[in-house]
Amino acid sequence: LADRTRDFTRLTLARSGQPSNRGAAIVVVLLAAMALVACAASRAAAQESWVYSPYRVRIWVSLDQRPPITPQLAADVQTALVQQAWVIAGATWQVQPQPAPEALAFDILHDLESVNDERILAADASLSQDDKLMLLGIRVDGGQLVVQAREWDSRTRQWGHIVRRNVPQRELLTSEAFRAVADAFAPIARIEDVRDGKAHLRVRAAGLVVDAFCPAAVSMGAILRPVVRQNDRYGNPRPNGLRTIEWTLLYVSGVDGAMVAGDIHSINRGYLTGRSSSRLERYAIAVRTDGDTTQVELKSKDPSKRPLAGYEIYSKQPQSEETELLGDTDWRGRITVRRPAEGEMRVLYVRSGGMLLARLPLVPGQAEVATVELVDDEKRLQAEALVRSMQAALVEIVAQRELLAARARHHIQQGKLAEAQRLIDQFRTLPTLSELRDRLDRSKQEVVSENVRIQSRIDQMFVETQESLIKYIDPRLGDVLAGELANAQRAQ
Amino acid sequence: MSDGKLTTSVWFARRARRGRAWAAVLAAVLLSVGCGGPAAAAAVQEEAAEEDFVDARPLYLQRPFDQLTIKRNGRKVRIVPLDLPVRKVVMQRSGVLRVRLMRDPSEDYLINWVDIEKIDLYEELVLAEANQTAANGQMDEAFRYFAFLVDRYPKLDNLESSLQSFLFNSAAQLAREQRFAEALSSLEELHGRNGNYVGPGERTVTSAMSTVAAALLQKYLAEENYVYARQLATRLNERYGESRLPSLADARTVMIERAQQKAAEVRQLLAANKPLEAQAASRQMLRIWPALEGGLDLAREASSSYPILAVGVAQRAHRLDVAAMDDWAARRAGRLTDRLLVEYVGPGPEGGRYASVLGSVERTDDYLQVVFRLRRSGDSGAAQATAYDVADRLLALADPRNSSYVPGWAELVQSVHAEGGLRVEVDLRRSHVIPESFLRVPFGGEDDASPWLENLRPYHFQGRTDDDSTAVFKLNPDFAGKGPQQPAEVRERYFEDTSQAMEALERGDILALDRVFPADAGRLLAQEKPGSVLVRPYSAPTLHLLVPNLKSPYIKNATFRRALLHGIPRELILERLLDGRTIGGCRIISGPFPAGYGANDPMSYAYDESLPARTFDPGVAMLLASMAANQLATQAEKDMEPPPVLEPLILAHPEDKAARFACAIIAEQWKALQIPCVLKQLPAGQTSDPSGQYDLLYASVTVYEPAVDAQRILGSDGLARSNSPYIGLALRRVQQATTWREARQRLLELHQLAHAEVTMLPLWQIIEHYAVSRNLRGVSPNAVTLYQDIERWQIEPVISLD
Repeated sequence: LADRTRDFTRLTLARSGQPSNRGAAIVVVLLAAMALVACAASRAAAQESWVYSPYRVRIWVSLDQRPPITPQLAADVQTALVQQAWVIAGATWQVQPQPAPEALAFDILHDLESVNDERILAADASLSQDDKLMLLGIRVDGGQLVVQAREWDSRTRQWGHIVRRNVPQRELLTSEAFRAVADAFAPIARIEDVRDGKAHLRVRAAGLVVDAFCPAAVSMGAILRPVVRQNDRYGNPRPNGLRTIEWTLLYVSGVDGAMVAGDIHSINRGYLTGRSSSRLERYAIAVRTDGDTTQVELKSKDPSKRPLAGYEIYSKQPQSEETELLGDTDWRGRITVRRPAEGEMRVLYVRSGGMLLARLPLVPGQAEVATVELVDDEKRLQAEALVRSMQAALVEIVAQRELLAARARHHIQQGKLAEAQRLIDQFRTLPTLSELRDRLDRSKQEVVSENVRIQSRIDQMFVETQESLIKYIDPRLGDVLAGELANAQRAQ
Repeated sequence: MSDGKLTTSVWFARRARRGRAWAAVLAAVLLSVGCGGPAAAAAVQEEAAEEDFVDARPLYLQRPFDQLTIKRNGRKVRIVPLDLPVRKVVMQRSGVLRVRLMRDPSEDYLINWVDIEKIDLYEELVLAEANQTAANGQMDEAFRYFAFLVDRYPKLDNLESSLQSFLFNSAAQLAREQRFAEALSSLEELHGRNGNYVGPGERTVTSAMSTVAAALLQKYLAEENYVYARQLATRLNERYGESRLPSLADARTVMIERAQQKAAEVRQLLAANKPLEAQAASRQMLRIWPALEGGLDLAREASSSYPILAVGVAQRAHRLDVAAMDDWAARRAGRLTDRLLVEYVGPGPEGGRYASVLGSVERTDDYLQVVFRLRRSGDSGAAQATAYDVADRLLALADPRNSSYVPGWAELVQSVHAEGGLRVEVDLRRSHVIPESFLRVPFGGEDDASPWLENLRPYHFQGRTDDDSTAVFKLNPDFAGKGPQQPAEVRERYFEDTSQAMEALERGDILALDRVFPADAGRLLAQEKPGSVLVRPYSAPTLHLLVPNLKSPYIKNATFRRALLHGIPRELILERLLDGRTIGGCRIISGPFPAGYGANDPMSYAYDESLPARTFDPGVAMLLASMAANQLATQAEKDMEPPPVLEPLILAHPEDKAARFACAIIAEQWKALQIPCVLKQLPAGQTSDPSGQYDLLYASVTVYEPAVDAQRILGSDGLARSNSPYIGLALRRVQQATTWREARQRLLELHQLAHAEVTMLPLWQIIEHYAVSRNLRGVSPNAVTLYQDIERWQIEPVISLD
């Protein structure tokens, strides 16, 4: 954001020399917007409204009532929010700063996480008419000013991450307050279509974005998280009708005006199938975070919800095929995932032995802990281990059998029958086919899963191993060798 | 070769010619025997004429014969020894004597007595030659003659007198040659035969003995070989008495005077507060005359003023880590500078036995709680750990952000309570068979410098000598658990060859040896006798393994690792390490867990005895190596990459003798199997290679508690750095076991899995031994580590054993 602000300052200076161009542009946009509003009944008009109308952003400001914060400073903050919004967000934001409701003012200052949907809607039911509500708290802490901001998206009722800034100088407060709001702002897009592993989205207010530094802009490489909204007949969200699609992220891989294409990375690609309608709306909100790490936690899907420890976690960049092993989940089923050196998003692969269990897209830092529930694979892995052991033993036994047989035959040919007899005796001490099959059967009885699918996989592994035994261990070979020796003895 | 054949053929030709001549002679002899008379004597003479060669060997080495001298021409004929009732010849005036010639013992000859000048018996001939040899001054050779005669013909006339004369003369000559010990031995022998012997010049044997003994004692004293001097003087005194050997008293006086001088020196050094020098002087004093009045007390005083413990070590410690599993030296020396929160003190019926230097540590019957009861030591001046300190540490161990985080412990701990300053209770989430075993960690974190922590460090490391041969540790004056006679200083002296270390131990230069080479241990255990050093086994064996570094495609391949294992002659190497001896518990192993002394040994609870160790079979090894190459080539083809090339394997090993020896054989054997291999010796004191530039690492590890240590050996962050999900699962199942039955079963499964995957290449198990002087008191009979009870050790002054 610092870079963005610097660039913006440069841009503003550049623009300040050309006020007529900017004014003309705004007039054009406004005319266009008015024209679209006139055709609001049609679907096309609705899309135009989505693209060419600004975000209605309400900002609830709560300030500490002690020095160095003064009433004048409070007024300055509100003024600055409007001014800088115009400068930075341009026409994409229609900002309405106002003092926070009494009931929430204290928590906005001191316990921002405790503010929830119910409380803000109880404070002002008209919020649902807006696009965004930004909570902005400015307090004095330890001699310095602390600014924190958080976004609430009224359409999807999703809370954004909390942005915190320490402001050592009072003079910087107004600009830092706006920066916090801008950083907390997450643009939203509407999912229009899903096909071939891509989601096609229309970005809100994209028609008003004039540069990539605008907070409302969605650029290449941006990460979006989809949210589904189920409406009643009046267009209001149904009870529990709003839900985030878990472990699903869209990686913006194409931008064409207001439309963007997002590669779907999901634990289940089926989550985004189906069509949108007036009853089922699908949105995607940009992921904003300034954290660095997330602890991914694996738990079993069964009622025990036990931690899944020891599962291998691999990681890759969304646009790359190269994976790296991050490590195993610990006894809590957790592994710490750090922000990659490049890009924001990682795709995690959860493996257990030879099986891929899940594909988890993640922006590290988005949450402190991200929990996913997976099928407990322990029994299958245990079976795989037993089968692998058996296969390893089989390789050695086959090698030993073949060598002993070859050596015995060589001695028979050379007429060294006593030595051949010794080798055949040694051959007979090796495990026989029936012994190996018994061992395999006993192993099979040790691993039984209640999960039908897993049990089916276990059974399949044992069947394949049994077939290998039959294929490579000839039960008659010992007798054949003994027969050859007997013939040689008779011949002598 | 041709010369040899020629020589043989010539010899046969001569034998043939001689055979024909003999046929003619035999015909004549038979004729003569029938009538007797001069013809017979002539025949004997002709036979004698046939004796055309002389045996140059000393007579006592030749076949016995008697010698007949013919009167007519004085010719001497060797005949088969006469069969006489008493070996004494009585010459006859008439009749014939039946003899057999040495050259043809199959035929009898008769010779008239009148034709015989004399008959010399064999033993008389030997005695004559012995006397002549002695007269020629060849005393050593003459001694052999006399030894032969005394053994075979003790009743020979004149033998005793000749022998006594010989002994006296021999002693005189030996004394002239400064060979006093041998001279004295001759004189003592002579004295034993004849105490009243008087030699040439009227010199009595006793007077000669006194002179020689005086010379010998003087020589020993000049060489400061007081032990020999005392032994000699004591023995001579006991046998002959000082009255007969007045030189003994002189020697004793000299030694006592010298010891008294040393005693005075000790007192001066003690007064000057120079305990190290005083101890050295007191050792010399006791070496000169151990029975010096007040000497032992003085040595004790010198020793107790600043007891110094010299310890011989086979591996130098270049780091101090009392919890190290794979670094013997670091663990040994680490015990001097650090203590563990909970310490393993020996095997028990179910897992190990544990103790804490702070007090007691127990687990409740339901295995759901661990309770520490802290002991408050008497002198309250020093800072001591409180229950809150311990609770803090226990919580830190369960905190993933802490550098000493112990995942296994974190998984178990639910809550920690400190009560009343002396009691700490740890509630566990679930039961575990041996939760306290996770607490074998140092008391403090890396940067923790709490005063109470400092008071738990027994010694401070002072540094090493310039040649890196000795490391010095000084007793921490604030150490809370200090014993009354605990050594004030420990000096670890490195010995490359443990046999030299054993000699130093027997001399008293060192009082303990931390690790005896297996072959030496076997020999010493067989030879151990009261009064010498004690050789004792450690309570836990060491497991010798090759740890694969999974960076190369070949080493990653389990089939190839199996091939490597089949290509190691483990039985042969172990046999050589033990020098062909059998030492209980030393054996080939099939997995990375202790096999103990057998299936009934509680320590072997993780070891699956039913699993056969892979045998040395070069054929199988080559076949498996070939299969591995095929597997890798197939995989490379799938990946559209060139097949990996088998680069020479780098086998890294520490500096110790056993590792060097074993790895040299392994590398040679692999080379013989077309598996190239080079050796890489790690720097002194190092047991791992942080550079990772190796393929296999020789490691000797000590596993005290497999139920907990399995993770440290086989885990992804353990010694093996295994990334196998199957091993990971098996380890978790072990960790989650709530009963011993379950733990044991799962450990056996883990052993089977590690065996199948060849996670490590198991070699053998060695029961390590330590050796201590009897002058070191308080040493445990079955120590876990050498310094386990050093607080109770007490050094007695070393008295040279006579």
